Amino acid sequence: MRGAKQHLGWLVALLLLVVAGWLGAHVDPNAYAGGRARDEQERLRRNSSALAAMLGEFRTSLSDIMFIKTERYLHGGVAYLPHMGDLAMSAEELIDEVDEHQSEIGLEFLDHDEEGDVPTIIPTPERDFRGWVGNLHREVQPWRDPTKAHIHTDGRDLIPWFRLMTRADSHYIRGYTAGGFWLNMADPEAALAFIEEGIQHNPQEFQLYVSRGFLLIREARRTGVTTSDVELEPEVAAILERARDDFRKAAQLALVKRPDDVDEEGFGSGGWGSYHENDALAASRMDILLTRRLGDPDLANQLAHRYANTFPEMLEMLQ
Amino acid sequence: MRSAFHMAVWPIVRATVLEAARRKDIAVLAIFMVALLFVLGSARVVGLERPAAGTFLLNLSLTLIIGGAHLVTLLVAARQIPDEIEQRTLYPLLARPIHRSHVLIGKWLAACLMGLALFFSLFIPVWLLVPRLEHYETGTLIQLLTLQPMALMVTAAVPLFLTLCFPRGLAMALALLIVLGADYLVRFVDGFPLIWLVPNPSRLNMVLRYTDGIAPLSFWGWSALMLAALFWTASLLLLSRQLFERRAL
Amino acid sequence: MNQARAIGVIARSVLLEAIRRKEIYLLIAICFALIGFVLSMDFFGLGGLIKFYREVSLRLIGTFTAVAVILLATRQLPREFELRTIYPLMARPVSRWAFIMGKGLGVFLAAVFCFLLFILIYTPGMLFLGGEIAWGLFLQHIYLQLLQMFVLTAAAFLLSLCFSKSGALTMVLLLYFASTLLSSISVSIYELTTPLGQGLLTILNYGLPQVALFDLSGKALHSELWSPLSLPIMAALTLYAAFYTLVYGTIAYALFRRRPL
Repeated sequence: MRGAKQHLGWLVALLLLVVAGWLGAHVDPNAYAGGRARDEQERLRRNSSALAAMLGEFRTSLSDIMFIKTERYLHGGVAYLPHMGDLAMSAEELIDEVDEHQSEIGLEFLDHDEEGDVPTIIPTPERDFRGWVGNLHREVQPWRDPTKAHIHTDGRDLIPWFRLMTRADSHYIRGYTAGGFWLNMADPEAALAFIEEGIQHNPQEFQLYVSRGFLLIREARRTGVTTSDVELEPEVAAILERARDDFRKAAQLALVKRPDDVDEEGFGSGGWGSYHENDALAASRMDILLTRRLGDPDLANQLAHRYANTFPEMLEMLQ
Repeated sequence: MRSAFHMAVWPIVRATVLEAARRKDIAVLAIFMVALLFVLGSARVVGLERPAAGTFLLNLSLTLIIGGAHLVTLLVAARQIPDEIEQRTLYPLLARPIHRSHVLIGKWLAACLMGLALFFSLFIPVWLLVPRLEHYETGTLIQLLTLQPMALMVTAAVPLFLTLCFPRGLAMALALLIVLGADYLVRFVDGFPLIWLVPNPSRLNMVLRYTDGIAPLSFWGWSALMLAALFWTASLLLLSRQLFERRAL
Repeated sequence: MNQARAIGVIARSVLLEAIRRKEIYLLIAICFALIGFVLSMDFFGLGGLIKFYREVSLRLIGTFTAVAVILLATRQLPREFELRTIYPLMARPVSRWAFIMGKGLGVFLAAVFCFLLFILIYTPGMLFLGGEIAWGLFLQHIYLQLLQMFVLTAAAFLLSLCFSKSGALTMVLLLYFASTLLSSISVSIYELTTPLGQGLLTILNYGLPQVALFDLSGKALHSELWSPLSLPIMAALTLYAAFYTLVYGTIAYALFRRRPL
């Protein structure tokens, strides 16, 4: 009798564990798209605050942690105040930024000359009340006089961090887009597969399609000639068709998501930021361009008219 | 007739809390409070010039107090059974007409109460000192405040169970891994069979959802998490009871 | 008993206890498992991504050793009183300073033991990934970490004589994990506070050791860009650690001496 009761106890406990596990696995409070923590514009705002500077590396948001990692890795470990501004926001600009950075590896640059010196998190001796403790701190940690040029190092080493971040939060879109561009430097096929994984987790996020579209254009350029004065080789055309499909899908999703109250700077309600606007514009423009390049000018004009309802500048692309 | 709770469980809860007070564990609460107030005060000094900075501070503070409450709950629960056995104080306790399961429940409840006391006593200064400059959903806050006590219940049960299976050090390390890292573990070793069976109190953490300004979970989603916590706790306590009953002292 | 010999005997007993209690192995095993996990991770089949391995390993090694040392150090003195093992010991001709020194040395030897084991796994891991170890920076980093262990041990002894075991444990853990934040906060708010606040921050700056000064992992991570620290800087850091160890150790000794048995 006692033995049976014991067995029943084990059985009930295991049953409860299974039910609890099943319930827990099916409700994730953080499984939503967007949100301030993941939003790039919000990230810029919070990281340019005095509070963020005060807290140094102390962060809870994955987006912030990744951002800090990126800045540190690309500057040889030197901790500058967050300074990579809007330039690296939209997918189109980000891919150019990645290219530019990789071409500058090992060289010294005065970043963002127009912004002047970017302060370091560990302050200069003049701004540091800690005296010799501060001097030792500057010796032990990677530190460089902020008036001196920044050193640019290889961003390839960031790839594992992007992999981890997207594993930890599969709705972290920036992790997929930025990670995909860095990965593209090392292995273009893996980069496409990485973005594809992001799309599977977030099929409604248009920026992922924009990113893949740009990666495919790079692949097409590697495969053959894409300039407008020559006929496209079949393999190149096939790749560009895939890119066009991605841009079209992105444009469709973006137009649905875009709020009606977007201002001149590209900001709107519901967390719509200038980088969303830039990517929506890029998707529409690239769809028109690629449709024309792939030999369907009528459809390209129709698309230009359609997109012009939202972006009047698309009318300039009519031919 | 007085219930078993009043006769057996409550005296153990009381004794455990008093023992913690005697051991000056209350200092831990004070330390956390001072550290938090220092961070919050410093933030007010440098100024929160942007609403985004306010949200950032709110998220950080809530994350810290939840982490602190779980850590204290875990540390208190993890030492209960090993200490009683090591210091041989369990024998006189069991010589009284007290069932072993009452001892377990009493110890678990005491750990829960201490975690809860820490959570709410730190939540109040955060609530008073951190300005809320953006839109946040009240419903999500209510869900956060109702789910956290449940999460602490799971956290208290995890080390209690593990210290009955493994030596104290190993149990504590595993408990830390589960309480603080189960959510990451589940995501990173996605393909590992039955990984979803690991109790996951972090799943009940609504801080990010709240500070992101996201609407509350549906009633069913919230109920599912409440039930999950309840079942994890019940299961761990039942498993602990099974092990404790069979244990030769 | 010769006091030097007593110190050696006590240190040996602490080290043996650390090894026998399996806690240290446990922490090492978890750290090994995590490093092994990192080593086994496949990042799109790309090779040569050593910075990730280097960063994670160095952080894990530093953190796990510090936690092991803090756990071991905070329980040394309270346990002697709790289990009443101090009485037979004090009945022998062992002075209290020799007792504290022995305990401290034992904890430090346990830290050395941890680091040796970690190096044994870190080095093959780096070689396996095809990365180079910048030995100058790496050994300096380990040396500074060991200096840090001295400071943490002295702080743990002092706090365990003032607070309960768990109170002391929390405070030393807080000192270890939040020291960098504290330093960053004080630098940020110094100019914004009143003269009184500035005075308090200055006291904090010199009263508490800054663990970031013992962490060379940032430079070791990007070793292609940074050279090892110069000898005068290393000497200054050694003096910095010695100062805090001495001050905390002396206060701990004074409290221990006044404590009734």
